[in-house]
Amino acid sequence: MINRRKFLQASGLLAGSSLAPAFLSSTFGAGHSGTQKVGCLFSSSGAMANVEGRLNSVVEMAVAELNAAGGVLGKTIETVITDPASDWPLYAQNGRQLLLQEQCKALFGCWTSVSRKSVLPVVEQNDGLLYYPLHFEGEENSNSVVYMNSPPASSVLPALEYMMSEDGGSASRFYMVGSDYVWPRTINKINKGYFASKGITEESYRETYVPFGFSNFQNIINDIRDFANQPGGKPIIILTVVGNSIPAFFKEIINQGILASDIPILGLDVLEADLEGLDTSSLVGHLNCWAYLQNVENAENTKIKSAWSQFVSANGLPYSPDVMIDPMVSAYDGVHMWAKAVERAGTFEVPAVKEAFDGITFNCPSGYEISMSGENNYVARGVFIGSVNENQGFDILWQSDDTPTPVPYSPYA
Amino acid sequence: MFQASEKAGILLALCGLLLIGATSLGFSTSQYAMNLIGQIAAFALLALSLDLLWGFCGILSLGHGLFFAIGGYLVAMHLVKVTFDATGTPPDFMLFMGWDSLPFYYFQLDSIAYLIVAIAAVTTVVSFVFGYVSFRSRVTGVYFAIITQALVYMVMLYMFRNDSGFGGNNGMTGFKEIFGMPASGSTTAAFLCGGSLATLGLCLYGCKKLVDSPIGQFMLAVREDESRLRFLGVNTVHIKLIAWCISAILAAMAGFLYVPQVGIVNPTILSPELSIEIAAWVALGGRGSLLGPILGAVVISGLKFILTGLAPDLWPFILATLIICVVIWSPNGLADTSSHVASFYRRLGSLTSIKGRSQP
Amino acid sequence: MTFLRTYLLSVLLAIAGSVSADGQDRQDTSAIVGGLCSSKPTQMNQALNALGSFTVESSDPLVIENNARWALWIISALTKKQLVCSPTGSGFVKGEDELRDAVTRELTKVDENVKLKAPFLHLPVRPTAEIIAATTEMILASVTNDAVSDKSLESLDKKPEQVNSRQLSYLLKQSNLPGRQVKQLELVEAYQLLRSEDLTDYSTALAVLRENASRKSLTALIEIQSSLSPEASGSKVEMTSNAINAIETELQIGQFLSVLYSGLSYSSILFLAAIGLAIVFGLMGVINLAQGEFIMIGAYITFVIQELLASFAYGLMPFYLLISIPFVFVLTGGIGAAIEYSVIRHLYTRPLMTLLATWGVSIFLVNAVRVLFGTQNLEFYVPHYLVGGVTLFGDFLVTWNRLATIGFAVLVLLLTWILVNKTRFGVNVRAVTENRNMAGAIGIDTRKVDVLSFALGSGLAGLAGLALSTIYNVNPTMGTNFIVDAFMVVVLGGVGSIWGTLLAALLVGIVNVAIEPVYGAVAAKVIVMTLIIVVIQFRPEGLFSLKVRK
Repeated sequence: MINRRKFLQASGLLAGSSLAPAFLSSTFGAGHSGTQKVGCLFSSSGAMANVEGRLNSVVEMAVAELNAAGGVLGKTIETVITDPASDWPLYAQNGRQLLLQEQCKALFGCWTSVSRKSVLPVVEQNDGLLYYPLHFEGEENSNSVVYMNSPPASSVLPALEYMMSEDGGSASRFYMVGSDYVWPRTINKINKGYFASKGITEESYRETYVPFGFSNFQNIINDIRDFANQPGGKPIIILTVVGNSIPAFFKEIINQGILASDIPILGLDVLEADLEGLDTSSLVGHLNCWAYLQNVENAENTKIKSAWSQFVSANGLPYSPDVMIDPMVSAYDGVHMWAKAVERAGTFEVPAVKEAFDGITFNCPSGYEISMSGENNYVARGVFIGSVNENQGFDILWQSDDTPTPVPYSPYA
Repeated sequence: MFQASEKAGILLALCGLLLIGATSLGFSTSQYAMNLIGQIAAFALLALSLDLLWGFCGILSLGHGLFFAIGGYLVAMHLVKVTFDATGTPPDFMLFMGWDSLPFYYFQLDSIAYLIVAIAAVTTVVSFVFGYVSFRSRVTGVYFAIITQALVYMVMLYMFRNDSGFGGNNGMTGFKEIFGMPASGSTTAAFLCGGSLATLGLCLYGCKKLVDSPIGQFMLAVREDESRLRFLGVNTVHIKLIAWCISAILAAMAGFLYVPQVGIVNPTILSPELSIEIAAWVALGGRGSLLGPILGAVVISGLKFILTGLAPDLWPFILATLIICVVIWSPNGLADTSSHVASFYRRLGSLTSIKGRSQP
Repeated sequence: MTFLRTYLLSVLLAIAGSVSADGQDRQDTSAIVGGLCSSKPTQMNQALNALGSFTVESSDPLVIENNARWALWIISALTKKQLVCSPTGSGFVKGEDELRDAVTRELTKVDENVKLKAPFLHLPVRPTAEIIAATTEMILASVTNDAVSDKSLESLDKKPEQVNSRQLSYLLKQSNLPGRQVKQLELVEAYQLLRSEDLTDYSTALAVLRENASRKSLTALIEIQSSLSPEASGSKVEMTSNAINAIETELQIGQFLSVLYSGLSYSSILFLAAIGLAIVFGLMGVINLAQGEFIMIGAYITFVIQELLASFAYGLMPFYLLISIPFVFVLTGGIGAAIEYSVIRHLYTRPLMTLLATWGVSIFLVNAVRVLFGTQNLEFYVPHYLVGGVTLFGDFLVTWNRLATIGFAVLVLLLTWILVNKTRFGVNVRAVTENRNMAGAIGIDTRKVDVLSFALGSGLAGLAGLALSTIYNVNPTMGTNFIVDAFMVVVLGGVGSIWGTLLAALLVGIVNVAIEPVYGAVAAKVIVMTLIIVVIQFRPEGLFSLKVRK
């Protein structure tokens, strides 16, 4: 039988040893007086690592640019990188560490909505500031988050409007496929509200959802072929599946011989990386929709692309030096817009920086002058529709005339 | 029979001293540290719950995340409701679904007493029904492990849905006040951390009492040879059910403690991986000893917090190697390492070596 | 009369000749290029149709050939964005480092200040460009007696209503077309004849459409039906509704068959993923959570072999999947044997511990592959004979790659069955499964049997990876997608029974796919899982359990 005293002794020590990890991590805190820290919350391991990890390096690159130009308010900026390992609670954990232990004045982070939701209370409660570089479902407007990308009402709807126009092929019937979670469902809800306002009836669209990681699209694509050949006008597919379901969907589309000229796919979360491993010659003409596409031609874009490829080769990073995607540019913009707000506020303190948001502008590599209005924490961005080309990339098919005003709460939702 | 646990005590003492020695360099009782300790204490309780079932009754559940989630989701529902009542800001999922009020199953959840009753009731009902049916039809061993995994996977798929009223993939978050205290602040963190440690201590004490009691002895008997016990006229279904339900309630308590501290609950806590990880804590720490699994949970989650920051690439390899080595060379887990050392010395002194305990 | 006809004909020919004379020609073609340069979808489509008509304006085969080649050249340049236009609307085709005039095809140079821009390829232009290219290719082929590419034949199937009518009537007059093309053209003609007032034409069209029942033909007929005026002759109304009914019936059969086929193909994937597990779990009692990773390794070995062939024996590329089979089986089996020897053999008496150990192994393998190859999806070359499929019954499309997977699953089933039931090795395995000590006592080397069966189980998983490589995404974590499903199948089927595994795979696959269209993919998965849990409650050892002495 166990000895009671030893049992209690051990319990006490156990409690002691459970304190250990916290202190370990606190030992590498504490900065110098001439520097100011900012934090990164992008997963470099786990399920999201493939796309998300590179954003850490983008932030580092942008911070290096700031430092090369003399820092911010005379201070050198230091980047603290953590790895939340695609594990949602760890985002909150690491966020807390960055704000409380490392005293970071701004965080750049999160890819998925759920990771942002996880950090959100942490930044709100601890007076933090999070720059979030991804497009998402909207319907949120936290005072502590700067939304670098457009909410659906000002990105997806302009794209849809184009596709319903005569130039865009007069689409009038819609097949919506999405992963079963909040982003696709909200987007499709907004879409449906929009269709209703355009007089499109319920017979003209169909929506279906698949579980995460779903890859057996045979049935759904059979159904799409059936839907497409029914009467009522030109069909398009609005694709909101995410992650590995995207290439799986395209594989089956190729296999069943459906071309962009038969039924175009508007893939709302499709990036260059999703086309890796696919025979893109059969996908030419399918579409995506982002606030930046790398083929846009302007001086800022040339600059950031060459800076990135130099940064990648100089640091021996395992990322493709010639692929620049929207979230990377958004994170890059975020760093610069934060620096501008700090310069204007004259202090690093978060409440003052927030006060300075109204009217901050930046020449984004997308070619638009992006801006914040102070009405909400969203950045007004331009909209691009890209079309898959033979080289696993996207050509610009259409772009908005200006930067639509971001509407966080869609009237159609 | 408990010689392993005794050794575990010594081992723990050593480990604790080492870690404290290593970290006394930078000691500060911060909110951050307390939050972390509180979370790890919740994990330790979760490990303890599975150990009671697997280590003492020989039933491996690969679906313990389900009960962890029941506790976690119910407390999150409570917090959401309280926040909604206090601030009037509806939770996100209500906005997404276009609901004006919370679904009916949030009824009365703003009361803490009702919440605790609800957690106990839901956990008991779910565990009882599933346990009763499975144990009666004698689903045992590997089969039980696999169907519990299927169960948790199935519930996870369901919870990803938006219309379930549990927040879908984004889960539930944005709690403004926790048990009457503001959600942020050192007092809350200290309270939750202290509460978790105290609960862990109490549960540990309770489990110790339980395994020493006659029921505990029957549980051990089920583990060692269920059919023989059945032939002796004992209704093993009842014993297994008791162990299963108590274990489920402990897991739900762990979830109850965990969610307010991380501030979010979402369906990934129902993923089969987490449930396997719980089993790994238990196996690494040493099942069949009460302290071992706690040690396992502390070491692995502690290492995870540290190494995902320091060496994210190496962490999976370290975890894998640790698991494989412990499983092969130290069947009774880390808690048993001291007996290896002891037997090594005894062998050196040409004493008879100790024969390992038989494994189910 | 004969004289008059000859005369008229010669006059017509003379006119035709003069039209195709250079000046007029140049005017037409530059108008077409100008239209393409407009960047406006309506004008571009008009230009493309004019381009189509232009190819059949002459009756001289040489002129036709020449014009058709030019048309194909222009369309290909347009879709590849090699066609660039000056602000004034004259077009040029960009080559590697040359510039040709789009009308004359001659090398030319443009002043550097003139900004050349590729016309905007709006969505509605693409289908027209494809269909005109397809028919033009057919016309060219009819002159030169060449074969027409599959791609062109397919686009004719998809968009019959967009075929240029002048090109169609030209093609219908040709006598040297292969049978398939004639059939296709008749179908295209049928769609256009539907508008005809003539009852005979109409009934011919209906007959053709009935023969080629599809959702598309149904839609066309329904549109016709609703446009039929009440005064239309009774027979026309009746004929139409008869045809619609017949097509609907065939479509329903087709739909049923395609669900069945999807179910079968999903079942075969489940079976392939589960059969290796049925050996190691069913026969040996090892809960191998790393089984999914053997599937992944199989796919990666296939990839390596593909890359090796690509660099050393390019000619064998189309057959790389076949060539890979023995390598994948042996190598994955070898890795399995190594893991058995280093890890599993210590744990045979502790099945629940194999679960944790193999979980560790799986984490290790996933990350090792991640470090070696990266996290991105691998690109597999899909041999042409595995792309596409054949349409039977309505819209029921039998895709070749799925058919190949089903065939492969059957092959694996037969081989495994023979190995386990008809060979010395199989007898030994079964003896060890039933009573390890007794088997050892009668002189069976149980260690050797263990290693070999584990290797067999891993090798089979590797083959699954090979078969899945052309269908699914191949990345380090692909294995985790299969592990829960594979366990469900094995447990449902009953331990130690290959036929049980087969039946369970069929059941799970077909039920899943059948529920999917009704309640959605998520619900289908949840329902199937619930069903399995319920079945296990009634038959704890699965549907087909082997009586084992414990």
